[in-house]
Formats: sequence, C-alpha cells, structure tokens
Amino acid sequence: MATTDTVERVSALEAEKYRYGFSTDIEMDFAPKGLNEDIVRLISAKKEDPEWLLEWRLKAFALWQDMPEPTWQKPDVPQIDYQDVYYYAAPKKDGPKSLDEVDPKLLETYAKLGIPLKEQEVLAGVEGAPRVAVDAVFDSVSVATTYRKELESHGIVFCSISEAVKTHPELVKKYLGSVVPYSDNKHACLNAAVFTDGSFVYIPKGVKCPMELSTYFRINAQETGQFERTLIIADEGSYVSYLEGCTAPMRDENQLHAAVVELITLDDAEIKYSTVQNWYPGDENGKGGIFNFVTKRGACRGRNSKISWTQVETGSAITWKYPSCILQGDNSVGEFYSVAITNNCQQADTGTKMIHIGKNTRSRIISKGISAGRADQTYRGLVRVLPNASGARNFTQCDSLLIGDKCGAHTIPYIESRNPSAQLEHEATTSRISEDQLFYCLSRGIGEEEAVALIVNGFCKEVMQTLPMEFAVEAQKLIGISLEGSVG
Amino acid sequence: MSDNLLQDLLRQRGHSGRFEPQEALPTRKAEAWKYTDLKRLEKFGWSVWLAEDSHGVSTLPDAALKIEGAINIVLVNGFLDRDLSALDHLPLGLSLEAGPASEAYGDGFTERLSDALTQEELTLRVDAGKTIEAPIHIHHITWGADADAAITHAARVTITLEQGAEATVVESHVTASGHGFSVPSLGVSLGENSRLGLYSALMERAGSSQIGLADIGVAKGAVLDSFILSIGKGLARREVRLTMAGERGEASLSGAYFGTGDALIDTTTFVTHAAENATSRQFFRGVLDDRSRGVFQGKVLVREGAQGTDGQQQHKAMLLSREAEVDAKPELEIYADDVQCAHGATVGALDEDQLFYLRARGIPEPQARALLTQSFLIEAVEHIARPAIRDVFRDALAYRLEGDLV
Repeated sequence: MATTDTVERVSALEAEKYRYGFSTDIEMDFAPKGLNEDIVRLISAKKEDPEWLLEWRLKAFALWQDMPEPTWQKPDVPQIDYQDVYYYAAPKKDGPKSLDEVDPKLLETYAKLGIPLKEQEVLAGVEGAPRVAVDAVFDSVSVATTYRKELESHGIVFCSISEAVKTHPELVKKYLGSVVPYSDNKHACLNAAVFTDGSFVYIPKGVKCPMELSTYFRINAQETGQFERTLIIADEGSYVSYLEGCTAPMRDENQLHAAVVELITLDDAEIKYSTVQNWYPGDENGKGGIFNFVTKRGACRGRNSKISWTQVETGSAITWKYPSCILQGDNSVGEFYSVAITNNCQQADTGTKMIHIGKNTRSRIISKGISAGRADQTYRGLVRVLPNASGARNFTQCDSLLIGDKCGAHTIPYIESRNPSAQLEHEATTSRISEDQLFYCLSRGIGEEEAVALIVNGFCKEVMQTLPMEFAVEAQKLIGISLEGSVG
Repeated sequence: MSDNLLQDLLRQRGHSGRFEPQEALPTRKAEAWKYTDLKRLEKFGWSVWLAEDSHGVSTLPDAALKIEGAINIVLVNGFLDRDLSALDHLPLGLSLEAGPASEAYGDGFTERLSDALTQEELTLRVDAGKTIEAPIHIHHITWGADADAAITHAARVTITLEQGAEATVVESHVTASGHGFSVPSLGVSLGENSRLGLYSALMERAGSSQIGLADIGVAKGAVLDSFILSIGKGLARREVRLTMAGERGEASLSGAYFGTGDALIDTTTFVTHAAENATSRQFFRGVLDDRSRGVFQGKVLVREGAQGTDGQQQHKAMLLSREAEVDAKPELEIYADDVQCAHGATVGALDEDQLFYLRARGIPEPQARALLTQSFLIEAVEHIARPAIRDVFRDALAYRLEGDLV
C-alpha cells in the first residue's frame, strides 16, 4: 500500500516537473527505421525535391558516412545508433489548407502546452491581440501557417522550407548551405542529407517585418529525430525578429535533434533570432532526454548589417551548439546573448563564434551559465579577427554560477587577433550564489527555491532583457522550473 | 637525416623513452599545439649534444643576464660546467648535485620529450628552515662550434625547498654561438610554509627553439612568486604546470613577452587547485611586432573539494604590426562551488592618443612607441616581489625594446 502510494506520488511529481511531458496519438506515416541512400532518396521523393537538391543530399550522405564523430567536446555523448532512428515521420493527412483543417488533436496538444497560439484569439475575433505568425512544426512537417496574407502583402515569404523549394527555388538554391555547408560537421552533414522540414523566411528590400515570426518545434513521435533546416534571408535594409521555442513530450529514449539554421543579412539588414529551448532534459538520474546538436550560423554579408542571437537553454540532456556570426560586411554587427541552465545530470557545451572579416565589425557576447545538481556546463567561444578587419571590436563576458558542490562550470574562449587596430576584451567569472543575497531573501520570508530563482533571474537580467516581451515572461518562469530541486 | 625529426633525435640520443616507433612531432591538429607550429624545427639538421662532447665556453657570454651577488651555476648544452659554476662556497643549507636524469611527470608530449632527451639532472635543495639570501642563478647556455651549428639539448633542474625554507632562483637561457633546440625542464617542490622566488628569462637568438616545462607543487602555506620574461627571437614555448596542493598556498605566476621578426612566444599554463583556500594569480602581458606571434593558453582547474579557491588570471596583448598575431585561450574548469575564479583577456593596439601626446611633446615616433610598449610590459614586471630581480628584469626588457623599437 505504502509502496503504491509512493509510486503514485513520485509519478505525480515527475509529471509536475515536466509540465509539457505528454504525447498526442496521431497516425504517423513512417519511413522504415535506419539510414541508407534509399532513405535519403525516399525523403527527397516525399518532399518532391528538385534534382539539384537530391544530389546535394546524396553528396552530404556520402560524406557523412566517412565522417568520424567529433570527440573534442566536453559532454559525454553516448554512442548514437543512427540506424535506430526514424528519419521520416509526417502526419498522414495531406497538408491542410487552413487552420480548420488542422488535426484537432494537434491543436489540443498546443492548447495543453499553454503555447500562445495567438492566432486562436485572433480567429475568435479578439481585437488587439499581439500579432505573431506561427509556422508550427509537428514532427517535421509544417501543418499550420498563418498570417500568410498579411505577410504576403509586404512581400514577405514565410513558409516551410519544402514549400520554398517549390515556390522560390532560385532563393533556396542560392542560399541553402551557403552559410553552413553540408561538409561543416557530422551533425550538419546528417541534417543536409535527411532534413525534412523547417522554416524559410525572405524579407524583401526595405521591409521591416510587421510582426515577430515564430516557430514552435515539438518532437512528438517516439524515436523520430528532428532534422529541421531553417533559412532566413533579410534583403537590403530589411528587419525581422524570429522566435523559436521548443517543448517536447516526456520520453525515455534519447532523441537526436540535429537542426541547421542559416541566417543571411544583406546591406543594412538586421535579423534578431531568439530561442527558448525547453526540451525534455531526462529524469533526475539522467535517463532519457533530448540530444540537442544544432548548427546555427549567420552571415552578415552586407555593409552595416546585423545579426543578433539570443538563447535561453534550459532543456535537453545534452545541449551542444554555437550560434555564430560571420561578419563579412564592413561595419556589420554580431551579438550573442545566452542563458544556459543545467540541473540534475544535464550537460551543455555552448557558446558562439564571431569571425571578423570586414572593417569596423563589432561583436558582443554575453553568456550566463548556471549549473546545479550534478550538471556540467561549458562555455566555448571563438573570436577571430582576420588581417583586413581593421577597427574590429569585441566585448565578451561569460559568467558562471554554481549551485551545489557536485556540478561543474567551464569556460573555454579562443581569442585570435591578426589586426593591430582590433580591440578585443574578454572577461569571465565563476562563483556561487551569494550567501548574503540568499539570506536577505530568506529573512524576508521568501522560500529558498523562490529565492534562488529570483537571484538567478537577476544574474541573467542582461540577457533576458534582449528577449521579446512574451518570450521573456515564459523564460523567466522556465528558469524557476529548471532549478527546482537544486537547493535544500 | 630522416623525414621524421623526432625519431631522428631519439636515434641520436639512443633512447626513445615513451615514444611510439613512428611517432612524430605534434602538428597543429593537436589541441595543445593548435597555435604553435613546430614545422620551423625542420629547417635545421639538429645534432643532439652528448655527455662526451666538449664545448668552448670559457666565460659567461655577453648576452648572459647579470645579477649582482648571485651564485652562478652554468649549464652548457644541458650539462653542468663545474669550472664556470661557483660550487665551492655554497651557503650553508644549500646543496647542489648533478647526476643521471630521473623519469619525469605526466604523459604530455613535452614531458615525454624531456624524458627522452634529458641526460643529466641538476638537483638543488634548501634545507628546512634555511634562508638562502643570495639569488641562485642558473645559466642555460647554448654553444655551437660555428654559426651554423644546430644543437639539441635538454637539461633538467629540480628544486626542492624543505619546510620553511626560503630561496630565490633565476634561470636564464641564452645563445653563445650557433643555435639551439632546447628542452629544459624544471621540477619544483615547495615544502610547507616555504617561500620561493622563481624567475625565468628566455633570451635566445633567432633560429633557436625551446620547448620548456616547469612542474611546480605548492604545499600548505607555501608562497611562490614567479615570473617568465620571454624576449627571445626564435620559438619559445614554456609550459607551466602549477599545483596548489596544500591549504592556504599562494602563487603568483606572471610574465611579459615581446616578439619581433619571426619569433613565436607561447606561454601555456595549467594551474590546478587541489586543496582548500589556496590563491593563484596570473598576470601576463605581451607585445608582438613584425611577423611575430604570441600564444597564451592558460587554464585554471579547480578540483572537487577545493573550496575557498581564489584563482585569477589576466592576459593582455598588444599588436604593433599588421602581420603580427596573437592567440589566447584562457580556460576555467571548475568543480567546486565556493570559489572566486576569473580571467580576463584583451588584445589591442598602442593607444593613438597616448602616442600623439608624446609626439606633441617632441618625442620622435620610434621612441614614443618604445616608451609606451615598455610601460605596458612593465606593468607585468612590477609583479616580481623581489626588488633586486625586478630591477634586473626591467633593465633586460628595456634593453631588448631599445634594440628593436628605436
């Protein structure tokens, strides 16, 4: 009796801790498990790829087979059985034409998640609801794309990448793989071979995108890795803010997520890319959880262009990514703002690369890492100034906070300068939560967990401020949830 | 000569140590050698200096660093020269012996290279509670029979300070003739509550290469003050492994470097905090001119349980030329929570405003540049705790800058 009671209570706790841990039963159209050239061809055929894209995938696949697994990272990555993964899984129905046609169960899932699928309000006629266009990705295929009309009126293209291949082949062909070539790294190479979906954004010359663009990724079917590919092009003088948020159902199997995100800004253009990542981190003992191995890179090709990455990483068993900026255009600007929280057995190896090529290029890196429980976290970053980047400027600040004596926090920056007029500054600190601050909160009747959440939120403030409003609220809550059980 | 330089050296030495039969020098693919290319070593046909070889050094060369009142110990091509060394009247409490080399520490390439090439080991010991007032100056001299001679040698010096002992050791590296590829190693042990000043001056000529290693252990309550002045014109890599092994140990590890021509100056530090409440301070400054290259790889590791650690590191570099390059990789690896660790790294250029200020007061540009460079580097030299050594190092740096910048 007592045992059953305990079991029930524990499982109730589990469900509470990972609020978003449930799955929806929807018929899936699977390709068989495993990866070989036929699967690549099948994915390509399902996606109705043009010939050049199939060739590109096959080249990537051939190279991937010979590529060794990287070993330089800090996290302990278990051997991944690539043959035990489904590479293609899509909702069975044909692409719906409107929201009404969307599988109601899917909408239910989003509703349960509490994701602000804002257009529901808009559809219900709520005036003044914030306008957020959502290209929702459900197991690799975009099933609902809203606000198309309004965006179209500005000439903005916001659709799934497979659609873009058909409707804007010239743009996709020109830019796909131009920032992250298929040969870049093992995981990006795999992505190039098997990517099934993702978003495509094109902002035409001089257009300021009138709303925040957002994509909600969810990994739903058991054992389907996600291989998203996102391509965002901001043409001369344009601006776009793009939000990416992730939640995933609770699973025991490790799930591989190897996405690629490519950003391109031309003269005077700006892209702001924000991520809140809250994939299932595994349980307290490190069982299960998502492998988040993502290649994100932006190229500031034009003069005076700007790319800004903001990320709040609280989920995944292993987070391994370096959103980067290649600052080619003169006077271009790259920014990286990051909060990474690891608790229990989570591992993270994240940071950025800023490659200064053009004159007077500037970059700014603010990274806040919080490690608790038995978690291990690494900031790894590169700032490289090439000989022609006269007047280049970088400022980097990496702060780590440790909660508990079993966790680790590491900082590995690489700073390379080949231009005498460049100014680079890097500083890093590691410390624990101040006893004074904690005492102050406790003496005012604030519970210990709440106090920690408060202090950590303060520690991360500089980064949180760069998030769009609604994301910031969500991210603040996430910080509290992620650190539950880390004190006391 | 074979195309594998490492194997060629091992053959000459007649001892391959812990190297695999086909193993070669590390390339830049190896993380620890990412920024330091050893290809330049292949420009010369190195001959390993053996115990039976005899040199022609009769007095200290002009290039040697001079310290007033010091006990001079002279090693030529890796071997103690008894005639040139002041061994007769060593102060009480100091002992010095030369004998066959012992096996060293660790599995890194540099440790293994040192193990394989070292033939003689100099052992320096200060008895418990004794203070040696006079600085002990160990001269490492490379001598070749002619200007084209390329000599490989490896000396090992171990320094042991027993409990409560105190000493000042300077080790300097200069070229008398020819050029050298040297692999000096230092094994230093600070006993409880001992105090050591350990100062290195790397001043070898162009074409020379050095891959040096210092392995230092600091016991409970001991205090280390150390400095590396790297102003040679060839390749100079110095790896320092510093372990804070006892509670409340204190270590200051600082340095200044100046590169010209094709110089490559590499400072690679690895500070491990293995005990509670120990303090380590690193303060490095570097200036690179011409096509020279500076590398700073500094790591602070705080082991689990090393609570109360205070580990600070700073590296600032300045580039004076369009072709110069600096690469820095400061690193923190921390497994304890009650710590204060920080590192800072900056790279920049001479301040144009300051330059303008000096020129406006009639100081010609070369002198103005030299002055500013000097003041930038001297900030590091100021960290030397022993005033007499600080003055000598400041002068050596000034002399080097004057010779090059003015």
